[in-house]
Amino acid sequence: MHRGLAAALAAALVAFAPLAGAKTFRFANDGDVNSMDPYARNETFLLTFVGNIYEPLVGRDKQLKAAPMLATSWSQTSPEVWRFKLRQGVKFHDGTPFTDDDVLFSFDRVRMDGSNLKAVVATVKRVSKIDDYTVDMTTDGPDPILPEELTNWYIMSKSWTEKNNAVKPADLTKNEDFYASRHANGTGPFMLKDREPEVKTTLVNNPNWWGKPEHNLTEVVFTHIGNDATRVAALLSGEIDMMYTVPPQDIERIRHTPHLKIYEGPELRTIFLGMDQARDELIDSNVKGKNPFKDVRVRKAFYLAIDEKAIKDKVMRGSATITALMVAPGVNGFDKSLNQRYPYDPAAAKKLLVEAGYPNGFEVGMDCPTDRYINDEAICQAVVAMLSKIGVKVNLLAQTRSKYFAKILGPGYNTSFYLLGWTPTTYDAHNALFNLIASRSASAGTGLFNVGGYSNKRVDELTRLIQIETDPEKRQAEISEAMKIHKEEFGHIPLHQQTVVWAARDNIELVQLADNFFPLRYVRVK
Amino acid sequence: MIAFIIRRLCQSVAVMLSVAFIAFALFTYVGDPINNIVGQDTGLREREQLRHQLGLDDPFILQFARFVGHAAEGDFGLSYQYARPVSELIAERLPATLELSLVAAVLALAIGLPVGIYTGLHRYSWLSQLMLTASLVGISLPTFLTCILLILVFAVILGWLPSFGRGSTVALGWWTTGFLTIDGLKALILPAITLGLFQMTLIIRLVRAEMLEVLRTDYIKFARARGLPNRLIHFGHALKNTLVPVITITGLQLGSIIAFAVVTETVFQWPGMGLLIIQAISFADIPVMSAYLVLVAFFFVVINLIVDLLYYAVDPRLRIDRAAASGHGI
Amino acid sequence: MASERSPLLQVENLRIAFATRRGEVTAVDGVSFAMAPGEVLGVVGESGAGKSLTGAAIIGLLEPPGHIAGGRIVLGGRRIDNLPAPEMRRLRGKEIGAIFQDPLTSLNPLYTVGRQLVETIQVHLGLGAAAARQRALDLLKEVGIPAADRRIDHYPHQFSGGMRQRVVIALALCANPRLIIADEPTTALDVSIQAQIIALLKRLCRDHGMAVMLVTHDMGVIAETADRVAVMYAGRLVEIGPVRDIVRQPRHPYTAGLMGSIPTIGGRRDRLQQIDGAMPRPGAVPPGCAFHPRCRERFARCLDERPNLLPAGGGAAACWLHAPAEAAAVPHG
Ligand SMILES: Nc1ncnc2c1ncn2[C@@H]1O[C@H](COP(=O)(O)OP(=O)(O)O)[C@@H](O)[C@H]1O
Ligand SMILES: [Mg+2]
Repeated sequence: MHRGLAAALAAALVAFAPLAGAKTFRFANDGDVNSMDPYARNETFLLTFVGNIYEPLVGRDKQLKAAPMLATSWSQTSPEVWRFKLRQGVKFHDGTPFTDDDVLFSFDRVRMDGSNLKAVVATVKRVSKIDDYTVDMTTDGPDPILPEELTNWYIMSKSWTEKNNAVKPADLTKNEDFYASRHANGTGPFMLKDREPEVKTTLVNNPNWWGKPEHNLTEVVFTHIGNDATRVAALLSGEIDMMYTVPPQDIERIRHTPHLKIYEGPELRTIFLGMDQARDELIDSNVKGKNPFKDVRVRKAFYLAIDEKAIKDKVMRGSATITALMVAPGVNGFDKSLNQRYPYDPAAAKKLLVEAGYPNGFEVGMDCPTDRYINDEAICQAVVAMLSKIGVKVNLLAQTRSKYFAKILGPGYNTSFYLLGWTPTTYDAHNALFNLIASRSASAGTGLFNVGGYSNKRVDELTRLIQIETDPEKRQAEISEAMKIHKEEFGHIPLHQQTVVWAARDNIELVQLADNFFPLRYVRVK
Repeated sequence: MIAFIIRRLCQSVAVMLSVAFIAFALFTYVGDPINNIVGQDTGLREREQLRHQLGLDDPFILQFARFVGHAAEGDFGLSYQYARPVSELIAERLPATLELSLVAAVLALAIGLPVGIYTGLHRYSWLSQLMLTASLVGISLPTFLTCILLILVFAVILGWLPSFGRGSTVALGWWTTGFLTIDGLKALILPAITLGLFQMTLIIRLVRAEMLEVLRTDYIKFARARGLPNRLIHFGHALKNTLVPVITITGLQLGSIIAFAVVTETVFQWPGMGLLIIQAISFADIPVMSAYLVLVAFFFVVINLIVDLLYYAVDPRLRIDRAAASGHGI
Repeated sequence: MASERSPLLQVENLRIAFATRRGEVTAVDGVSFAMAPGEVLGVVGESGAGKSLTGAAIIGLLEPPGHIAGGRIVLGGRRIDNLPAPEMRRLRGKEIGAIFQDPLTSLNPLYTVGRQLVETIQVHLGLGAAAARQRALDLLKEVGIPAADRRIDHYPHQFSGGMRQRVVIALALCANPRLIIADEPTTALDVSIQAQIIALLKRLCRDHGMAVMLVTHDMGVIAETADRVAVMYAGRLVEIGPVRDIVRQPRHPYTAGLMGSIPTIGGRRDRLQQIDGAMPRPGAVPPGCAFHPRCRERFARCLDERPNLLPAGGGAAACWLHAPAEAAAVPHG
């Protein structure tokens, strides 16, 4: 017992003793990294965290433009073939060299059952070896933006996964521990030193990284602190250096605290409202025998009745970027000239309702998540109040996201009016058109998140064209045309882009990206 | 005695089965885990396929039967959220919650009992009034608020104690303990106080009320009439009789300490089962939720068993069936 | 028996009051009596008359807010009503024993009877463990517990009501006190057992030379056991005297009513009048004689002048009927 105690104390002391010149960076988020397996979940925080350990072929620079990572260059050798030149002399953390075998293996692995990043390589039919450091990717039809789509696909080591029985991604139907969910072996600037799920995850500098480090960190300690107040307290008390998700109510307080700094920037996620235009009769409305949302005047009336400026100022406390489009600036294809909202005009809205045959308004249900987007429920409440001014009585059903998504998503799409947010994972407008705006079609795979069932033949055609158009200018024209049609038909009601808000101590230098990615390789501790 | 324990443990299986059954009946309402598991770009067909693989499209009776079948083999499945075996997750979290609950319970008892006795014996003293008023504050302050206040004072303003986490721990086999390191002990203080505060207040009030009750009884009056000294009356006769109900309530409270730990653990980011279940609920992580509920049911059964055994030790009237053999009165 | 002998207990002008929100309420008022060594004094009266309070005052166990507001209590020549708490504590059990009404609740259910006896013996007599246990055994035998050497280790719930009251009596006897306050010791028991307990008390009293203040409702028990009787009404002592005198010829109209409402050992007498009305609550006692609103024989003086104990027959009664002047004017009998 005594010896155990002494050993424990010694261990504790060693853990405390700071190494000479060591720069430890401690940061926290409101959620944990659910897994170390880069294919476990298609969610921003997991991908940005694991992205410090693993690397994709094509990454992104500080402006979110595609940039070389494990591939040094790429080009289209034919409309359906992309050729990637791989970086030479790169080693995984376990010392084994990185080769095209690893790329081929990672391609297989990311498409296996249990992987949640299948969609990232959805257009790729085949990956083939040209030589040790060259691979060709053959796509299913032309894919002009393939390199952009691959930025979240991290390369894993073939030999390491084979050695550790981690060839397959976690299979939720089996009761097994998955090595790759707690261990990691990438090529990135940081190596996983220790992972205690929910407690802390420790990374250390990779001295053998192929790049020239911009950071000066020797160690990174990440902690999950779910409670907002506690997370803020930890920052105030100096227990952490940086907070990845700042509670909106604490932004001002932190801004005015000495030695703390707020980082704010528009995010790529667009928050919008959708209306059921598919059913002949709404599932929860007092209008029977017809669907008011099929009438563009009603959709426009809703749009005009919503005072997005007030939502931005009052609900979001200024931390939002008003938008007229379904994609954010920074997303490829965003057209600034279209990003003018129709002005707030409740009188015109009221008139439109009268014209459409609803002089006394009507009643409709609305679905809203309570824990998915920043202030989601409060936004919905504001919308309810605004619509009541034009005589529309909205019955709000706000629920936790697990229930909310189960209700509104396909195949049921059981909603008449809802709030949703979307970040194009490819940073390209096509992704939003394909998932949110194109007609729902199981065979084409389009419109899976087109919950309201908006449908326009020309938009569908444009979406197909955009997917394969290799001429950037023509492609932009097509995107703009589709966006314009959708905007004028009020297919959805875009509200705003959320703001990415981070907070850090003032001795920390970091780079904030609009995709809410937080690469540790840009962090410096002064 | 042994037979009694075995009988009770058998009953516990029935209790856990019912809890699991009710849990599964309710899971239909917590939402759909599929959207949480897959990425937003995952197609409808794949979503349905995963739903089918996980058996989420089966009627709940079938899901329940499958759960029981696997659980009987010690297999609680894989967490949807962490893709790790639930049994492993729980084994990892259990020490944190049990250590915290234990310290909180000991704290609650160590302060609650003496204060309860004191205020019971000295009803009219100003110190009693002060302690009772303070305990009223303790009982009416929401746990969440207590947590935040303590963090603000001791972590942010004074900087003495950590605001979150468990500090460093030492592994003793699969058990991780925070008792053996200084920062582990420091990290325990605030969560244990918040968690124990409510129970402490409850124990104070319970012991006081019980003490007052017992002091009014005839046998205490008679003990006084026999000329026994106060010490003997208060700490022998009265206290022992006070303990009988206090044991029950405290036992049940220990169970609810584990349940209350959810709030404390969430606020202090204490890596225990409370934190696990909160996340599991928001993720609709059915395997974790079901295992947690069954485990908590098991705790309650075990605590009840211990309470009954303590009863048995304290109150001779319950030993009647054994004693009956040796004669019963005139 | 002779109360003229040097008394064991003297209660003089005892007043017991409760501090309430509405000021002090007097519950026992001006009670005086004396007890000789070895004497059995029966105390009777309706529920709420102040019998238990008087007993509790003597043994020093009045519960706050009740307190002695006046008068004196003298035990064996020593004033005890104003003793400091520790000294009074030492006196209890050693000089004055007590037996309460309900044997079922008088014993601590969590301790064996042996343990309760031994602790009492050790507190008062300072005996070693073995000697104390031996004395406990002897006491249990003396109060008639069969198989005492086995029963000594039993818990109270393992005894029947009668046996428990025997244990309670043994506990009161631990230190051989000179006085025992027995507050309705048989009320809670089966009728068949009551007689046994009373007989036991009587025997012990004789054997140990103890005086007993026996509070009871049962005039039959009084008649059989007591040497003298004290009758209380509304916190006052209304009559006291040798038991035979009072049973045969009560001097106070209230006593007469009391006698009338119970069958007596000496056969049935002329049925006396039932007493109408109820005893006043403390604080609502009328001026003059407390009994006058219910008294058939009241006259002007009873309404505004309070009678003190006046010699009547072999004892004394607090009734103007026995004032020398009135006695001549209003004969009775
Ligand atoms: N704590 C108290 N406060 C006020 N009055 C009391 C209290 N305890 C007893 N009394 C009153 O004192 C009176 C005498 O009570 P007691 O001596 O118990 O009567 P009894 O003759 O039946 O034994 C009763 O009328 C009772 O109401
Ligand atoms: Mg009484």
